[in-house]
Amino acid sequence: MSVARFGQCGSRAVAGAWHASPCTLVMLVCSALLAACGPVVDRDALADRTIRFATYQPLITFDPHLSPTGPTASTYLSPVYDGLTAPHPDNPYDVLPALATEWRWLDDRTLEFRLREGVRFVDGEPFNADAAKRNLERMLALNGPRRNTMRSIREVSATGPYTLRIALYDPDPTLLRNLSTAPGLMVSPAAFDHAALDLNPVGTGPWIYDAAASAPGDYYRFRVNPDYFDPPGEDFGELEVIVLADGRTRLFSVISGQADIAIIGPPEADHAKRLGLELARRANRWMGMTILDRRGELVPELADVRVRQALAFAVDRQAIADAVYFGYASPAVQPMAPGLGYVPELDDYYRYDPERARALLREAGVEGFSFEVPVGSAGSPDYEAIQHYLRQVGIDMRLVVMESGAYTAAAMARTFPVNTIGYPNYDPDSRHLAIWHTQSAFNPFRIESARINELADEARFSLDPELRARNYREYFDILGREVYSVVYLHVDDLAVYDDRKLQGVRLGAYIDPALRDIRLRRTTDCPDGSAAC
Amino acid sequence: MLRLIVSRIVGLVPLLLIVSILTFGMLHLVPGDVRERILGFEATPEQYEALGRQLGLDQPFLVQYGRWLGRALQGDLGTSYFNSQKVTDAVLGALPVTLSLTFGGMLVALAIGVPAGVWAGLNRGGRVDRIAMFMATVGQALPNFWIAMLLLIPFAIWWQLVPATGFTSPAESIGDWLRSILLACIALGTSASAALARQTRGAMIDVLQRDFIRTARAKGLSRTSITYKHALKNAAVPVITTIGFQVNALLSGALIVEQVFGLRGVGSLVIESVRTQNIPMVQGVVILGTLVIVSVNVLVDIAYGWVNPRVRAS
Repeated sequence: MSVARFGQCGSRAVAGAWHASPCTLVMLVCSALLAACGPVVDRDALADRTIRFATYQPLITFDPHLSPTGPTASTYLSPVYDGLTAPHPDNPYDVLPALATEWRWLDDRTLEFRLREGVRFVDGEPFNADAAKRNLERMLALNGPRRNTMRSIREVSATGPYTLRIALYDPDPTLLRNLSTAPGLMVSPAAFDHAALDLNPVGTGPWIYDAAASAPGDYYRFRVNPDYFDPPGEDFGELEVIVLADGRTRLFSVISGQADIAIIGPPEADHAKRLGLELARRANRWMGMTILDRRGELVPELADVRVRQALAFAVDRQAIADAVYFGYASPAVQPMAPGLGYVPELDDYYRYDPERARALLREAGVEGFSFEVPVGSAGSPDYEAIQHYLRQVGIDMRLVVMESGAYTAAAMARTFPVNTIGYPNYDPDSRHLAIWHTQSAFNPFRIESARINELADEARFSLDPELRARNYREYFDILGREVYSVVYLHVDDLAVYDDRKLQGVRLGAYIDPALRDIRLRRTTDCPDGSAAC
Repeated sequence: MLRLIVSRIVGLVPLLLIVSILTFGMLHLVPGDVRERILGFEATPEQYEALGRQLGLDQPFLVQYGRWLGRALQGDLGTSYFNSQKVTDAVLGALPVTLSLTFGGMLVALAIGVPAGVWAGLNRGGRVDRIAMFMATVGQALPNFWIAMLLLIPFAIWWQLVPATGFTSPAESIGDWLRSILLACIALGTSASAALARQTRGAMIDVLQRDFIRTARAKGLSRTSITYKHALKNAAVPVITTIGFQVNALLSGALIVEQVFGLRGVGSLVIESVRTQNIPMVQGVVILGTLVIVSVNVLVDIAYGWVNPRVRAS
């Protein structure tokens, strides 16, 4: 391991990164002045029991029922709240017991939970079936951003002190998973009416937010909850979340020891790798283009499936993965990662073949055409590369680089024939509703595909895993062959971390690391019992 | 002097009004919808409408502005669109970082720029003058964020003499506070010192040619006395004007340099708020920023009077 600790000149990372000539006089003078400021702050990694996580995402709200999901929830809500279920760290379709220890379907519209006994919220209020019922009712009444993921709930009833029953309008195979996300997290009912609940969470989680020691927007400190129902052990550290907007600054924060783990992008990961730092990676999202104008209202050529297929054949995915993503992406032709909705046969369907692309365009009677795509400024290098490949086959793709606010709005409007939003590569139920359903936000032309809708609707309301697998397989086979979306890559989310101090670092489904799984490395973990491995 | 301060404060009222209207108007022209940022893509139209009503976004522009102004006149700059964080708390929490950088940068600029300008002025046309002016040209040409990166890599990454990121409050530790802002202040102060050096040199050359300096020399006063007691004091008026400009430039420069050092100052706050269309927060930053800049200008005016009794009398 080679992360240089603060104040430890001469560590391996420093030596590895040392390319400078001997110090200039000015640097020596400045160094002397800096050293004269006083003793260097004691930040000994192993004496420090705080896990410091640098992220780009500031808190939106600590009220889970009004919070979006995504990194804001997994970074800020998961430390302080529990749900009835917990997300499975490795399988986005599975859940683990949390405040509910077991559950069973009484019929396909009724789910019964056995709740954990002896749990208290950090304000001392007991957690029981009544508290869970009131939480779910509050979430439904508040109409928060993710309420729609729980819209199948018809009625919640406490059938015993620790037994909860949820009655549904329709069978909902996603409910258990959704209960592990923000809207399913449990708040102390005594705090429901706290005006500042959004800045002062009251949950049952393994950490307690320390508002007095935090500076919202800058850093957030959490101390270990001594009464947590599942004591995580002595190697479980305090937590500090530091907000640093710039990826390079986050990398520097780990190199120089101000943070122990940081979310970074591919260019920083390449730098970190050259310094010998440890990386955690997980391919969570796909990159490509969704063809919004499949009826050809703006660009008539896009109505022809052969033209859309030409877009898929024309691009050398591996080259883009290597050059733009520094290898932290892998070529892909379909939206879903292996699992639900993955179609193995599609993998060989769109290999890089510019001749085939030209032939398809000729077959469609298209001698060349142009269209505009909106791209966010951060994503433009990817699409500049794609633009190059498409130009080789006679397609003129014009990039309209936009600020993020305008970009998202444009991606949902009838202004452009395609959009370039990168979506998660799992959870086909949500992706269907967001992208390809007739009324989806990202289907502004309201293009209806009867078979797609039929397959998804049947799958979304079925508890039969085989039916769901079968339907989504056919769904994505159609989607792939008819090119509703052109998928080029599956892109890695990345985090760099100090493995002298931390172990168990792995990324979750929402960009950031699974914080609860991280443990402080004990001195006994080192072969010689020394302070650093 | 009191009259000057009162007139500045009176003039501040229409200025703040104009600034607030312009900011409010421009933010409403920014494409995108804050509701989408709060609710995400998958919320229903009813949820968008309900949130719009809750935030008052369903009202006409003038009604929204009028409501904001009414609250602002009572000292309430509003709350974040995203949570219950008070705008005033957020801005006042970020201000120490930005002010530390601005005034630290100015100290660096004064420490380098004024002596260099005096030295160059005293040695007009000589080697010292040419070297100082060459350095001043280079200093003005280099963007401060680039200087920040150049400083960051050796001092914070290789040698780790200072933290690469983060701000320590002076209340926690003066030494750590200095260490947390030192590189950023040097990066900011370099360009300002170049401007100050050029201005000081020009003013010194001008003053040193005046009759009263010749008289002082004829009276046999020492070179030190002539330089520091008579010439520099008279050369200070245009230099003070430059300092006023440079403080404002340092404030805006600090917004960028904060990003390089991961310092959560006003710059980071305003960039994040603009990005998320958090209008109350941006309004608050702009209004309080205007107040700071006007205060600096008043201080500059007071300093004029201090160094030049004629200004005080007028």
